[in-house]
Amino acid sequence: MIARERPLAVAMLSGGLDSTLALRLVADQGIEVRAVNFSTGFCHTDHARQVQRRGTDPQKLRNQALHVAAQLRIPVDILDISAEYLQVLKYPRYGYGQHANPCVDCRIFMMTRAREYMERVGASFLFTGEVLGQRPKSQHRHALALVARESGIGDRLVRPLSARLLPPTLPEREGWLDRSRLMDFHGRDRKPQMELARRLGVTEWAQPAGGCCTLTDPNYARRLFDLFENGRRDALDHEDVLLCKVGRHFRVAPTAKIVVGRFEEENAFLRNFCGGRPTLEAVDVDGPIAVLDGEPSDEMLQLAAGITARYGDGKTHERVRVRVDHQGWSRIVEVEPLSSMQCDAWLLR
Amino acid sequence: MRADEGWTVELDARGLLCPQPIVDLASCLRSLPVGAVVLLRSDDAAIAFDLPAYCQSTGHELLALAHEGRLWSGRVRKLHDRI
Repeated sequence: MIARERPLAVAMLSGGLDSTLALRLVADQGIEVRAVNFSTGFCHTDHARQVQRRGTDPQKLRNQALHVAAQLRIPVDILDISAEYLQVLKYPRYGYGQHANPCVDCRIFMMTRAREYMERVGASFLFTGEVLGQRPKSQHRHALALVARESGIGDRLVRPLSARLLPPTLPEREGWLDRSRLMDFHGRDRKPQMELARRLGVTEWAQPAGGCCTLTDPNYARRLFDLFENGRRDALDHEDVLLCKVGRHFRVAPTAKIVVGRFEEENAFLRNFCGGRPTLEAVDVDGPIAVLDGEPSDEMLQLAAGITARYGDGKTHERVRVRVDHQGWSRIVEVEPLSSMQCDAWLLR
Repeated sequence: MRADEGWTVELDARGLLCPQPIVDLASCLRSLPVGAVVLLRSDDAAIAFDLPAYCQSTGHELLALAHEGRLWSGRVRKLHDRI
């Protein structure tokens, strides 16, 4: 390891207010910092970029961790952990939070990866923007200790925003960090963070804490658990995850689901990321793109065409022609649009 | 090691979902010698913000950034081996 004049620390940086403040508290003590940002595939901002609605301010779609790191001149690495993260999501040892969020397992997994990164770059410790008591599932005292232990990081993990309420860590005991200059924040009240931001001159930040994860969205959770209940837990893949984010979802059979785009950008997304599944679109009238997720039998294609027709401009027509595209072939199916009542019976709400 | 002038690697990130273009760029830069240039192509509109931020954060040099319609092209010169 290279001998350093000052310790090197790794920041887990989301780019939200808490991790930004934690970074400032550590960097302002003369510690050399580099940041790591994890891409799990479940970030709202990432999804907003994938389904870019017309008129969306592109500034709101920027990667906030990159933006914060650039402002503070802190080098940042974005690590794509989305493939491994699926395993965490399928079988969380410590269960889910209110929706599909496996927060404790998520923290252990990320912290383990961050520890490995810390060791790889020769850093002395790791820190996060976690606040004691801020989140019921993963940030109470016991959970914070559990995450530090299970990830193998132990007392090389500092939570600068709550450090004075927690046992002294190695960097504090060694004198690399002055504990008295760290914080004693606790709970969900954000006023202390706002006040600290004002004091440090931090003037802009991303969403409120916890607001970026798709897995805390009840609609997303319902779609994901529907896949699990219908035999897709083991086989869950990246495309399943993407499909759950868009459109209306109709569970028409245990082995078949139909996803219908709700607006132009979702239609474009479904067309691009259908992952080899059959797509459907009305031929003579405007309407959505639909994707059939499941065995493309004649019966299912007829059903999917009827639902596709229901959500297009031909919904009051007696018959609508719908084109099915699948792996290089196309065919036209002529159907009667299904009624709202029929569709509602299958709609995942 | 320093690459010869004119050594440019093209990285086509069109159609890739965020943040993959930046992840791939970082990986590409790591594999190249100091001085090499990466030409990144992306159709992700936010690359207009993310690419300058990445360069400012990591200390690599953003030589150019331009777009034609939805297609963005950015040229980045690797300045060091630190990240």
